[in-house]
Amino acid sequence: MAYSEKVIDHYENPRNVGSMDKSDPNVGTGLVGAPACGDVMKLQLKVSDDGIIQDAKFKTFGCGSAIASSSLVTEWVKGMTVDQALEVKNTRIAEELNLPPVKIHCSVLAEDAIKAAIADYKAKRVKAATQ
Amino acid sequence: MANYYEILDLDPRYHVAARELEERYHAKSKLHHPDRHVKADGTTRVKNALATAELNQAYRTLKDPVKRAEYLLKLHGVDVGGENSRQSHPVDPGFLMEIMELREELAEARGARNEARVDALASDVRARRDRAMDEVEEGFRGLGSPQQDGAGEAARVQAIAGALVALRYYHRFLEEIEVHEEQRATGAA
Repeated sequence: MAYSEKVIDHYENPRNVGSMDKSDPNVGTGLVGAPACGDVMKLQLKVSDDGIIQDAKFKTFGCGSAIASSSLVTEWVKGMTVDQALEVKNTRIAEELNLPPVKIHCSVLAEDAIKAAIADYKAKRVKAATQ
Repeated sequence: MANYYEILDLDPRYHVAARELEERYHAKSKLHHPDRHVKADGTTRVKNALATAELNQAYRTLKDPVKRAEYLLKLHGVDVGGENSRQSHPVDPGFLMEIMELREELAEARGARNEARVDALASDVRARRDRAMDEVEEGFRGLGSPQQDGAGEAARVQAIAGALVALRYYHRFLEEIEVHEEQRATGAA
């Protein structure tokens, strides 16, 4: 199966690979897995106190499409509000990367990772507010 | 449509004797072989070709211990999802975290050319894989045939599903180990 040029570009030059401090109250961490293929993806968002995503990092162990999907969304969500980031749909990721039908689940994984990271961030905020 | 066990006249159990599987497969293959149907009409020939394709698929699935387990589990009502399936079995977050850490450690060890660490991680994950395979086998040993699933067996089926999903993650990890070992052997690492 041929990968699209955009997938290859993100795969060969992945953006924003790395980790942030999980315990930082402004950092939300999302960890998701695709049991169908054994891929695992970690996405971290650093959110300012006024709800803007300042930074995003990822680590993905999986196929080229999974790496490209996570790399792409880290670029997209920077500068977005948390609510805007929640609106990022896998269909847009798949479209941008020209993913074939058998690789759609990789874009679903990236969407789920954003949601998981934001859920983690929000849970931290609630916890901090009640303490 | 007949399931793969029915196609090969085997009991729907996890334990399949390799020799029995081979014998059944060869006997059935002969039945559909095109040489036996040279004088048959077009429809019969197409039917035979389809039956052969299905037979091969059944054989390949039941021959492989992991594919057989996944298939049998599906007959028990739980689909852990194939490579291209979108259906997914929920994964325990603690387990995912462990996998992430193992993958990160392997990446670090490879980067630092710490071969002793790579080898230690490889044997750790191989042991995990073997344990998961044992869990699958044990789980199926306690199960009846797919039609007789009682309420008490749901937990057993779920445990097998969990072990099969874990196996996928271990296999991915060990694929990277294989790549690394190949590079090491050819001096490319």
